[in-house]
Amino acid sequence: MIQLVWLIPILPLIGFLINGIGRNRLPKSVAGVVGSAAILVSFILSLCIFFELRAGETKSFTIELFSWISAGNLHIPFSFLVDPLSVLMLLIITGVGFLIHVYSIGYMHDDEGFARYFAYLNLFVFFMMLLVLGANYVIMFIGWEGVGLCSYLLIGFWFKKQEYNNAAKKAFIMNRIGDLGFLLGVFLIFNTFGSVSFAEVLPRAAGFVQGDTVLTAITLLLFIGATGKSAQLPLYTWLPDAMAGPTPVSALIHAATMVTAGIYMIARSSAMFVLAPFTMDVIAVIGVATAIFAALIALTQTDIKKVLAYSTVSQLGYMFLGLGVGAFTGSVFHLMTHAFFKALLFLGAGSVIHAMSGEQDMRKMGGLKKALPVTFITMLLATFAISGLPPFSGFFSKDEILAHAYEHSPVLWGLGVVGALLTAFYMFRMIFLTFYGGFRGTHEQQHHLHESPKNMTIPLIVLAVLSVIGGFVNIPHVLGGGESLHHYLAPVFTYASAYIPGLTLDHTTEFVLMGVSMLGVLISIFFAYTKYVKKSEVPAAEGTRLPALQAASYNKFYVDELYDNLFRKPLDALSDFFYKVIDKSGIDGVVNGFGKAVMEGSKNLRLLQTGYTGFYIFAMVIGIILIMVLNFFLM
Amino acid sequence: MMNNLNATVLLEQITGSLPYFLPEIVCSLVFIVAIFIDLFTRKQSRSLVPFFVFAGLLLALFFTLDQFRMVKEEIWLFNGMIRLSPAGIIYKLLFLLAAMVTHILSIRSKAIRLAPKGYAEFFIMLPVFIVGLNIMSMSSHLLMIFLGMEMVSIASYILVAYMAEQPRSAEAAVKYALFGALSSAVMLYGISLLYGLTGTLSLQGSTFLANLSKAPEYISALAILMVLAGFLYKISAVPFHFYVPDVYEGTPAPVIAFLSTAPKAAGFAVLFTFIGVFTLPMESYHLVWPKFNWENILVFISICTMTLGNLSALAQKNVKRMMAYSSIAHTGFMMMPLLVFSEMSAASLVFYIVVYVLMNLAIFLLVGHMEDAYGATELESYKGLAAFNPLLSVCMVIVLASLVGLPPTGGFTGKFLVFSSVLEAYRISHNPWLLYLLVAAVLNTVIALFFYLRLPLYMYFRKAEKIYTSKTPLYLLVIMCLLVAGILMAGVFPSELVKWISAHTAETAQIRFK
Repeated sequence: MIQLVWLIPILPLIGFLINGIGRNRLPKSVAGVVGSAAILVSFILSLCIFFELRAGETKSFTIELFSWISAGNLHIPFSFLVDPLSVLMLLIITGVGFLIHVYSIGYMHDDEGFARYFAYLNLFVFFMMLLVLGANYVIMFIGWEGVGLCSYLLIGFWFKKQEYNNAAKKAFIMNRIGDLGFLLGVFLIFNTFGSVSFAEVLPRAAGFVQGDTVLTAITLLLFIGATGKSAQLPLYTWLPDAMAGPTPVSALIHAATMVTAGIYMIARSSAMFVLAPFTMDVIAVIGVATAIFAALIALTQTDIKKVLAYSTVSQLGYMFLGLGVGAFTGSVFHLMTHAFFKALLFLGAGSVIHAMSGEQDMRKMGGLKKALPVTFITMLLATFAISGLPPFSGFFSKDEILAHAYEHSPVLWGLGVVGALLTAFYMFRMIFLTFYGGFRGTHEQQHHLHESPKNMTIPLIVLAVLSVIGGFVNIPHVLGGGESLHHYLAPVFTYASAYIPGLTLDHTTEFVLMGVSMLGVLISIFFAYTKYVKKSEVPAAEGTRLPALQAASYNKFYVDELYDNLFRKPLDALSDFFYKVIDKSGIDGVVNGFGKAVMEGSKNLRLLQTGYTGFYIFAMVIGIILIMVLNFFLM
Repeated sequence: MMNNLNATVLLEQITGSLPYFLPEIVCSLVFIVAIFIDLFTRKQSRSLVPFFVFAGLLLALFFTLDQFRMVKEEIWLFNGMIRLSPAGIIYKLLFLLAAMVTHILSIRSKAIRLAPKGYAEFFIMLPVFIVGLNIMSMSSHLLMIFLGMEMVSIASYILVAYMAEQPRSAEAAVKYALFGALSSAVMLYGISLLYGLTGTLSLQGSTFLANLSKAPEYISALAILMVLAGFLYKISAVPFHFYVPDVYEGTPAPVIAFLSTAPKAAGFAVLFTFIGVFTLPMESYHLVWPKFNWENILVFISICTMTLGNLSALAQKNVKRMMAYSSIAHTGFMMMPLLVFSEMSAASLVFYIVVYVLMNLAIFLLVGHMEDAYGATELESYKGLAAFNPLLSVCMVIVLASLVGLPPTGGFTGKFLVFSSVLEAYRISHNPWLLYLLVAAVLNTVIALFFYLRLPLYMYFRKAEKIYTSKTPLYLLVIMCLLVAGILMAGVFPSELVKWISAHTAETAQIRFK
């Protein structure tokens, strides 16, 4: 069965081809079924492989499909790596992916580009599978680029609005900056180890001493790649803008799967990262800083999807914090539970937006819980989970990260807890503003309110169940659990575990830590409750003057404006310079005179005197001289 | 008596070489016969000449393919003037491919059909090109190199000047000829200096390098640099690139499809031969020669070329100008494998060139079609094309992704191979400049994204202002799909192609160490 792993990515690719080619001819029902079925079958296959892998002795298979690039002493096979980590990722991608496909059938029903939407979605899943299945960094990079491309296509899906195009562009550009780091990292890996396959690089890396400069450089470069794809400081600004795409896309790509690629990549390369303590510290600090920074912005957002977007950035920060303190299992665990509850929250938000006829502003909602009971209850459960209340899934995963953080440094733990409090506050703020109080929208909207159809609510219910029980796969010892996920993933982190000691906290400390963070969370929920339910406060309307701090948070701390002035304007100026000075000098004005000169047919020699040609020739000669000078005096 | 004997040997050499020179002979004959057809059958020639030329090219293709069977290792023809190597045959095949695609694109091209000169002459130039290009890729004798280059240059001037009634075209032609003449003159001067210093023009064997090593340092470096200037002009590297944007803008797309691919490929073939002479036999792989700092200079030119090309392309609003700078930038990338002589670098250079040829032919196919059908020259005029012409648009996106170097296209594999060969050079020489080059190259692939993706942006994400009514001819779509299939194959299953190329280029790379 494991040998057939290539079927898993092939199926979505076939789905993409069918929907892509037949996008104008296929009826909507067929397009949706084809798209979803491709993912469902992949999910079933992944499950089979999962069970086979668990039952078997060998935990890691490299399946070579064909020799891909082979030149001189460079050999890169096109091969897949089947091990506990990649299979777990497959299950998340196909499982959550399938639910989102089903949901999309309902959500996108009236859209004219229905089949095209499913084609892109399938293509995305295909590339995401390449990313997690690839047995070397180059295949991973193909997936890495591919998901970026699909994200670009899907954000720009509703391309009638200009704002969406800009969001798509921004997403792609930010990602490319990250890719630059990734690519350089891969080349440095190739230079250092003479190979790019995990099976060769990681064991060899384990032979290096801790703190090795080359490894530090490699890991830092890879981390830059991860910050781009996983929206960390300072490259996070694209993710909230990416919410311009259809809501299920936000759920799948910008919450549950693609953005976790950075986490996956670092977990996969853990053998190198543990040997670079400096990088690990950088990751932890950036992670916790992002977690808090994004949470602060989320506090004042009024667009329901923006709240969730910043929440995603913040939760990804938690995962990076986990990686930075060596809690690799914890991070992957949080990646999984986050996929459940964040997908659910986005789909729920989609259901709300659907009911509100496209309205996304929470100031115009309120009191929706009666009209949308299923959406309300499922979103509430997800909010419990993300806030880290026991026994919901988020509690276990967040707690594991925080416990490791505490062992690393109590300060990191303290900041992490602050982030958790903020999370609980803004999440409940969202719930209260949306579902409690009186309705604040127009009369028409109120009249139109309705619960979403079955094919949208059933995925919500399934995800809600997962959000509730998802944490049970890794109950810590202190709560009498067996840490099954930890044991399952252990073979992946063999090299890393030599450098990262297990938790040595005694049980009392762990209980105290849990107690403190839980108490804090309850208090902040209470605050949110008094503010938004008891006093029924509604965020101020657009244009009202806000107190300085609130204004800063509402305006996302002006980071976009900062980047604009720091990067975009100078770049524009530079390309303008090239256009005006270097390029333009050659054409305009000269052309017409030039043409006439030739037409007159006699004064060809004059051409030599028109400044520009002379200048070009002069530049050529200067160029030769310059190279001459360089040869003898500078090199 | 002695003279007689020599003459006999010489004659035998020549007659013995002829069977290996069939493609070139065929092209020459086609050229001459086609001129006669054009002269004497004025009325019917319109349709006859292109047909005849195409048949001639097909025959040349047959003989070229046959050479794969005949030539298993390098052989010397015409007293060492011509060197036929398996790698050279790949180049020759590429030239023919480019010429044939250009031929098909030109038949329907409005600009060429409506040229007042009549359009038969245009096609007659194609076989001339093939002869010149083939000689370039096969020679390792400076005189033959010069001959081949001049032949290609003059044919290029004619094609560019074909529409000289239009101001743009006239400007382009004059600029092209002026720069071409200048660089030829400089190169010829360099060649004569080299002859004076070494007493030989043949790059074969060790005499040339041995004698040059005895020559005074400054003079020999100057001579090399002058010759190099001629080659750099042909591949349009900085600072010999100034003519490129104007020429591209003022010339019909099918002509540019050819000029941006075949002569550049030939330029690289020549450059590879020439630089290879300077790899010292002792230090395999290593491009060191005490009198000329090859490595650093090539790195410097390569960085300048790709950076300037990409940054200038960013600001372009005209598609052809943008593609002109794009082709300059690609020159920078293609220079990277010149830095090291190994099986891999030789293979990756040819691989990159193959993919580059496919990509540029595909791009100019679209550009030419848009020009003919809608008079579209600006990026703006591609607005909303995707809704009307989905197949062409999808193909275009793939080609542009390949030009950027995104997987899973041939462009990615090519860049990856080329970058890897620089890494290989670095591992041998530990020259930090090579690392700078690598960083600059990766940075440039990132910049490249910004301008290439503007075209799909207009095609997909902007609303059409006009209705694209004209139907794309089926044969264009077929060629487009074939080119795109090639690009995708080179990305997804490159190993067979790489293996095949390596098998043919291995010897060229090894010969240096003998």
